[in-house]
Amino acid sequence: MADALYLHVPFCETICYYCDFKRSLYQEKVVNDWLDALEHELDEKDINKSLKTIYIGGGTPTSLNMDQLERLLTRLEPYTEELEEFTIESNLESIDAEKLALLKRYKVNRISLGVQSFDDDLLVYMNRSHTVKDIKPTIELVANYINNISIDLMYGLFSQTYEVWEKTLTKVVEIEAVTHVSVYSLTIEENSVFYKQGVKQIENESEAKMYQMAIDYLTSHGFVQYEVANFAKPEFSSKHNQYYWRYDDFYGIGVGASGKENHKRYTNNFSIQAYIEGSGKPEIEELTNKDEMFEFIMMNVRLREGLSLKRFESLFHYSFEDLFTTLITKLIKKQAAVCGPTHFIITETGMMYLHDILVSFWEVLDEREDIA
Amino acid sequence: MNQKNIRNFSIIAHIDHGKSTLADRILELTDTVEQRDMKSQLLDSMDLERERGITIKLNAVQLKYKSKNGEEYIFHLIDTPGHVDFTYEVSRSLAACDGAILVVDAAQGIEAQTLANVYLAIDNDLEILPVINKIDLPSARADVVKEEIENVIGLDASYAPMISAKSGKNVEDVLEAIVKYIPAPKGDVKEPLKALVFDSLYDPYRGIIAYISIKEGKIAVGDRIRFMATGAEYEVLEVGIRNPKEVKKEELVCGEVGWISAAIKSIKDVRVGDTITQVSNPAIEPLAGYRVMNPMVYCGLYPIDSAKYNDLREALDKLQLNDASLQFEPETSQALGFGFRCGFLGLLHMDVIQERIEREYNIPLIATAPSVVYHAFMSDGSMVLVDNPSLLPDPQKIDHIEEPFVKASIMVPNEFVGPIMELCQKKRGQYKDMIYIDDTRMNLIYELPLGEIVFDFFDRLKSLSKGYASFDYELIGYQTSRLSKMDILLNGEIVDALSVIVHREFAYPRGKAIVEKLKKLIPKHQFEIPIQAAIGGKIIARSNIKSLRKNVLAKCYGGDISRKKKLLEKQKEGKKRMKAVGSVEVPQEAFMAVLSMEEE
Repeated sequence: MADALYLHVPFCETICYYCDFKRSLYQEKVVNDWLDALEHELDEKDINKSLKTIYIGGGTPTSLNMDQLERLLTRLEPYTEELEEFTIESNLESIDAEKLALLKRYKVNRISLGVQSFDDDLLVYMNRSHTVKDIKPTIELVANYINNISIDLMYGLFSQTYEVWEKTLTKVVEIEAVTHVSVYSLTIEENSVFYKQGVKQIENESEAKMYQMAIDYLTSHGFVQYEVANFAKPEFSSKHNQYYWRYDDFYGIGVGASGKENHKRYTNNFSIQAYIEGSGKPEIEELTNKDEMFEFIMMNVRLREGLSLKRFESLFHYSFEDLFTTLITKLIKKQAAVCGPTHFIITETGMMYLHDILVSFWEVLDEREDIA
Repeated sequence: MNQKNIRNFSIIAHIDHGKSTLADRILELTDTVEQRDMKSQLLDSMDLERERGITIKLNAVQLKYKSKNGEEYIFHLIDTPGHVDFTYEVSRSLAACDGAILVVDAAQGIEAQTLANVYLAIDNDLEILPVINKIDLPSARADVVKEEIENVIGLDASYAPMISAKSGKNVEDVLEAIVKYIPAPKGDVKEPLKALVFDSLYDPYRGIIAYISIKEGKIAVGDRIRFMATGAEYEVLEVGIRNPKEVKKEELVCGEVGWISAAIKSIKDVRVGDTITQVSNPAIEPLAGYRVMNPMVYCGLYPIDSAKYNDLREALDKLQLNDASLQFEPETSQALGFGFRCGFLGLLHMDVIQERIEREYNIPLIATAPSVVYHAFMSDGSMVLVDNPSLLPDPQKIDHIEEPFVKASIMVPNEFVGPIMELCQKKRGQYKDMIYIDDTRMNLIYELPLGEIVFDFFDRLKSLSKGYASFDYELIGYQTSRLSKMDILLNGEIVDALSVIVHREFAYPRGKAIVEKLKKLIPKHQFEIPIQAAIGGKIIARSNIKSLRKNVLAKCYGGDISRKKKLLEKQKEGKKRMKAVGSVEVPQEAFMAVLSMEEE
């Protein structure tokens, strides 16, 4: 049984131009019907009562009104006995003292805020509804209820200068209550408004520079980079997300969610309407041993702690070092990786070419006909 | 069957004017093929031909037709390849006939290729029967096209059947016209055997099958025969016809068209255009028109995966069994490893062979840019044939270089004459003539270096004329040009497979265009890659591929795994199409980049 559960709330009050998640503008009636369907899904599904983490993502989960939010949280209560981390995503404008008190009452102990930037022009460009002056007061309000506050920041936007990015980083570390930062480079996804507007990805040199700026700045201001895009103050790294990166099973609940259980990945890639009618069929991927080996590598090397050699061997009954001897030697020689007694770790240099490295691992696996 | 009731003919047409469709209709009307067996365009038997709508291999079919005059006739329909590369083959299959149906599209009118084939038919003394096709099209202008046929070719088109091969309308008129206007084969069955070889194919069990048209005498199972040009002698094991299924017979007599097998192992013995005669009672003179075909265009073919070298050799061996005009010999490139230098009749021939190797034999290939054969005259008076630019001798020892020229005939609507003439100029063309076809179109005659045509000439011609220009050429011999070898350097190293021979006056823009094109095609690496074009050690153009500083690192949570994996899979597949040249991964297309003449 899985220890982590992801629940997707596909509603928002406005649509951000970079977003490609399953989302729809908030309508009270639709949300109520959606809640019915969600409750039905949870009733039908055999879920571990001793979950360690729950993550409610979106969309904007806090776009639900008080009643709806309470209904959702109540339905999740039976799974919260042994919960260590309970995260909800929110934007700045849909959260207030009342909702925060409600969240706290239902054991939500981590919040992920879509701050994105400390530049008003960029916020407008992304179609975010908040302004820079809202950020600090909102975070301080949240801190009265929840002490683990993560914020998302976006870089690599077309009109974003290095100065603007630096200003954002400076402002973030000034806010004491922020315990966790995720930095995302803008990728133009096919279902996003930016894609439809024909917005182009920026030059990868500038993107790399901004990424490096984030690493340098955050790590010299009390944060530890524990994953490619994630930084935390000590003890505040995300427990839930580590289930993904360590390639553990997790439940995916709701339309727009994806889960992995017992060598199968399912993706609820259908419309909200189909979900409400109960007619949506998830896409199911049967994962072969080879698929899982590759995905295990793909996810685990993202972690600063690296890939656990022991876990690889216990899961797949192959020694990681034996399987990839030549490749590992080559990567070490290029200073792209190090291999310690317990973990295989991609270096900061290697991270810049992570995709190339992953493709090389995949090619080695492809050649092995003995692995199904 | 009485010889006077035999009709041997081909259908000639510009591509897309409806040749294959008409052939299908004729097969249906003569009940040669049951409807249920009817794959559309049956004569084109290879998938690739079907797909590209072109005919590569010739084929001959025997049909029976009961005419309205009450008599029964035997038709032999001999298919011809429809592309300029195969002119010689076309001329030989026409020589197997006594008449030709000239199909002209009622909307498009006469095209350069139509004209070229008509002249071939006239050269072979064929009776030409014009047919206006696609008369149902809204844009059909049958009267204008008839006039064109009369003015441009000088044929009387007043009796031309007006048909729609697609719907079958008036196709019977064509059959009646064949009976009426195309003469019966001449020749005498009592004379010594003269059989024209117009095609061959390889059968793994029976060896080479030769397709023949009996011009004099007869051929029977058990006969001892000689191929007059190659001197090879064999005993005939089987003779037959196709209808279109193979039908064995005891003998073929004067006027008939069919096939023979004689356990022939080598394609080199069975040359298209050769004459077969009896060993015991030989003909004195062979039939006229035999030529040895030399490849016009060469390129290097290399397996992307060097372990597939032997597979590639086998594939080429097999293809050659059916295609005597394909030549190859092993070559080694510093950049690409072991491969083959291959000679082709032309660009289409080259494309088709490459595609067949990749598709039928599943060997991903790197093809170097096509090159013509240059004649390098050395200071000591000797001459070196150069079909691979990287092998051009040291320029200090060369007195002069000659390159092949063609006479090109380009038919083009008046409004595009300007751009087309400009294109010919850029391709070092010498203007020769301009002939008015009708009020709307002209025929431009240019002499052009063949080496410029193998670059993107045809594509440029089509795009400059919005697809309306048509083009045909014939080789007219070698001329001296101011040529030099241009090398391309990647990361400071000469990549031999990218070397190209250029005219000195055109070297700078060409070098710049190639360098820019490569910059676009070669993906960023983890280091900076300089690209340079050089002539004799002097750099004439340069550019840089900046280093890749960062793969898209982005986020990756539980819901992103599938998408991320797809992205990586795409990258992995792309890598399979690349060849490592030194430390640089070069995609397949880059080796054709030297074809680029865009001066963007």
